[in-house]
Amino acid sequence: MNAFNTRHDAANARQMPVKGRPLAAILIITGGLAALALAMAAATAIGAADIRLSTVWDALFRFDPELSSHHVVRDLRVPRALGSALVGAGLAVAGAMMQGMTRNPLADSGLLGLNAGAGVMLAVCFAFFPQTPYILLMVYAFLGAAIGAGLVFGIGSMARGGMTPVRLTLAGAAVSALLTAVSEGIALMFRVGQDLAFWYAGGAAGITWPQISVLWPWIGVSLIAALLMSRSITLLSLGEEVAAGLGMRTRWVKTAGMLVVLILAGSSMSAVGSIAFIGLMVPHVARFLVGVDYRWIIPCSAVLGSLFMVLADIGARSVNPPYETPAGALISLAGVPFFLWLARRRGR
Amino acid sequence: MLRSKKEGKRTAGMFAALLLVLALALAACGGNNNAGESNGAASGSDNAAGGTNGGTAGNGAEQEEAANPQERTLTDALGNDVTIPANPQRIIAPYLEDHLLTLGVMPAAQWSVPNGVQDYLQAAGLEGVPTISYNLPPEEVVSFNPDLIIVNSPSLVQNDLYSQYSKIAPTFVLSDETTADWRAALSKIGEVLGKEEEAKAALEAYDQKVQETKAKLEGKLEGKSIAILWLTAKQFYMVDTKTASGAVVYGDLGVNPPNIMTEIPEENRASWNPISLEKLSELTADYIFLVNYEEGQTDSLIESDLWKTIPAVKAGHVYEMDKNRSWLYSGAIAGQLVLEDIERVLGE
Amino acid sequence: MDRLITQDLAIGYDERLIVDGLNLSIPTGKITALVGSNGSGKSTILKTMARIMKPQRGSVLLDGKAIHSQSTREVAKQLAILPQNPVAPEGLTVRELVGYGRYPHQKGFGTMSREDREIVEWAIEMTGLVSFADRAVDQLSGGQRQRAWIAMALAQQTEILFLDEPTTYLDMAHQLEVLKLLQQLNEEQGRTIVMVVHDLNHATRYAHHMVAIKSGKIVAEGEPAKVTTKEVLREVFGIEADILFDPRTGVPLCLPFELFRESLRTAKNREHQQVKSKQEDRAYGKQANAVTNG
Repeated sequence: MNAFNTRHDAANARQMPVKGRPLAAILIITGGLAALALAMAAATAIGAADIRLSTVWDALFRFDPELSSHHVVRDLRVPRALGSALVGAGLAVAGAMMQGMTRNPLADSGLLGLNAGAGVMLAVCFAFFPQTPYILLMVYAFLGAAIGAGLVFGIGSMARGGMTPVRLTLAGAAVSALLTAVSEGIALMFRVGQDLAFWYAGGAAGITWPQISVLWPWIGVSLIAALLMSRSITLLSLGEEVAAGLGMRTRWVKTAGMLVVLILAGSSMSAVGSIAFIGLMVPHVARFLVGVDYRWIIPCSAVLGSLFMVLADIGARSVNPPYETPAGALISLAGVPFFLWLARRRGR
Repeated sequence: MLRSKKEGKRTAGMFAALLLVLALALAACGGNNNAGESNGAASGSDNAAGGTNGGTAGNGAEQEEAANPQERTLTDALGNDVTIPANPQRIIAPYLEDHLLTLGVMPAAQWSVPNGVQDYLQAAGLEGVPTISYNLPPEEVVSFNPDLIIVNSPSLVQNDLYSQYSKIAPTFVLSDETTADWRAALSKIGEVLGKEEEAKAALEAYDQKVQETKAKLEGKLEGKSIAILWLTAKQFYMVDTKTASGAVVYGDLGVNPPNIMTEIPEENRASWNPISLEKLSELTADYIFLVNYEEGQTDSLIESDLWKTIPAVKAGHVYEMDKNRSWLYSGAIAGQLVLEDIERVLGE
Repeated sequence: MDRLITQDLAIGYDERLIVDGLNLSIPTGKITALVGSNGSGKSTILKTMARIMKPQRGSVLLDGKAIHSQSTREVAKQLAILPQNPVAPEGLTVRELVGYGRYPHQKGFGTMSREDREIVEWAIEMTGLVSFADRAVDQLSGGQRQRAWIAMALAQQTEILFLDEPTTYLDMAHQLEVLKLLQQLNEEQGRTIVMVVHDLNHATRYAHHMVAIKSGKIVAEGEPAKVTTKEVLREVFGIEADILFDPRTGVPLCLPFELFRESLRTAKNREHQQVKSKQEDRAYGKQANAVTNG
């Protein structure tokens, strides 16, 4: 194999050597997890109530049910930090998978109608079944996300010449606008605007232990499924025909992938509301750092997504204390410029 | 956030006001039937009802006014010269009904959100008065054929609405500053309606009532602090010292506001200060007056362990005020009802 | 005996059949070129033979077994397909891309074995991309990019290689670069190659076997010299052409000089009859344009 003899030529190439990428990915995952641990510790220590670190420690390891500060740590901050981490990973991985499967760099649960669809279903729940327990709410959000995505993909592929990133994005914008209007209509007619307003603002403030206990198995299993599917996603990102030619069952992978996306996005949104842009931004950052292999993009997106969401939630309570600033708004504040930058770069 | 503190305060205030409107709409589901029935019944009885109100002003004043009719011109907050008819019979003054009733005047229509009204004023005389939407759609205004319109904020007559209203009837706009202080608002409306004497008498009667309450509670509020909380849609709001029942408790009765209120710099406070459960854990107030819009909800925040560790809650010093009471409203009638409530709860 | 044949194949989208009753046999170890005008169904036939489209009736047999009912991964070890104008994700390197050709041979999470790596390097070398192996595919020239994709198909290590218009969008030098590579693969390794090509002269020059297709049906097939006749060209492409023979290689060359269409003939007749009228001249100009555009 004299190919190996000429390998030094590669050193002249501008691109990062191929071996560096898994290394970068492993660095990001380990470093990211360490940073995540620190961020979650900070999220447990920082908050509206002034609680000393030693008290935080006691609350975690020598819990006294009589002390309200211990309840703050245990019942509010810890589930909030855990929930943020779960949801951040869920949204980021859902975005990464959508981008890979549709080969659309702009794919994101917000842009492809999932958020708006979940919003409609939640509006329906608030309006007609106000006492819906959380687990059902989650299922409804999931169904709504499926309806939204179904409409977007349906309309996007109806156009002659099939689905292009631009068509998909346009269909997403149109469907989202329509569904949001429907939600607002329901909100006005049945006077559930207040519930819905909180949902649209987005934030981890309301996450409780019962929610976490429902949330984590779904997100955990879906994340593992996403990881197992990651190689197939990479192949799909080469193009459907290429993937089929390489012997992949594309229809099966796309169906399973979409299901995983819907569970991740739907359950995340049911917990924190409509948070856009994590699913868009984080996978791009991951891809920029570790290349195009989804075996690395997906775990890196999960870690970075968690980290980002936990930080955003810390920001949400530190920006204007003691008031909460919606984390969704903070994320959009960072997300919109990023989106514009991305669109501009793509346009060239 | 990027906005200035002052702006932040205003935005927060507006947001809270919006929430109040929505919450009232939400809470008033039960009131729907009332309003519906009354529309038909009340059509011819407006004037008749004027004599039967439970307000503080006497009927003699009204007769005097009727005997001595005279057109007058006044300048409103926007600088409009408004010609007040001699003896207005069909007044629309949304969200100012407390003042009208205090002056012994029955409005032609009462403020409402989709199916909510000011519950506490129904027994005080508004029962049976037809409703008009809070945002005063001109067509609806026309349908009542008013002879005087009083508006509680310049923001309600933006976009040329003033000229539309003033074509229907003379329209007098109160400044936001006047509206924020119910005494000033009452005096101003007294002036507009030529009932300055009645206004003055009502204020005196109110102050008298304050003194009586103070006397009854003598010694019981010494060094104590009271928190007034409003719970709706999984969010606590702390009533400010200058608003609604806050003005009565902290202003008129001179009770100490709670520690978590005084910790917020005054310029950062809104009328309804959203307060996280976490911050609430630090509440040291001796008594909590709670306006609970989540009554009967199993996952309500007041079912949480954390709530139960708050000292006042532990001590059993939480007093839930009925939604139909006036704790979230301002005015002579609203204030007197608040005084009655406090007397009843703390006075025995 | 030919390894790959189609039996009574019917292919279509929805209700409309594009191909109906196709019986085609691909000679093993040869280069076969499918030619035909746009919309003739040649790409559809290629995709169906490579099992990335499903036929509505009939079957594609590989060594006597229907490929659509076999495990798609097993089929991928026998035949590879390079779709028309594939696009690599931004930043994917040549070596990474070629590595995906090993997919059908790998299990589970897809860790590259030593053998896999060697095959990848061999495919990169075969396609002359050694010095570009760590470059991003999207930054290569058109010809290099197409060679990278061919390298991926090579890494799949299949006897049979399908290519859908491998030279489209390439300039002439790059077209030759790709075709010579295919020729080399066929000659040196005996691979069976089936490709859809637009340029007839590429087909006649590089293919051993030509299949001319019109409306999903085979009009003519066989050696290029036998297929490339005036009649076939008129029938399949609607052109009038002279057939020359390359003095160096003896390969037939086709030189189109006129469209063959009913409408054009009537227009030409009119031209002869009314040549003096300037107005009519202008009208003809319009019509002629319309004909060429259509």
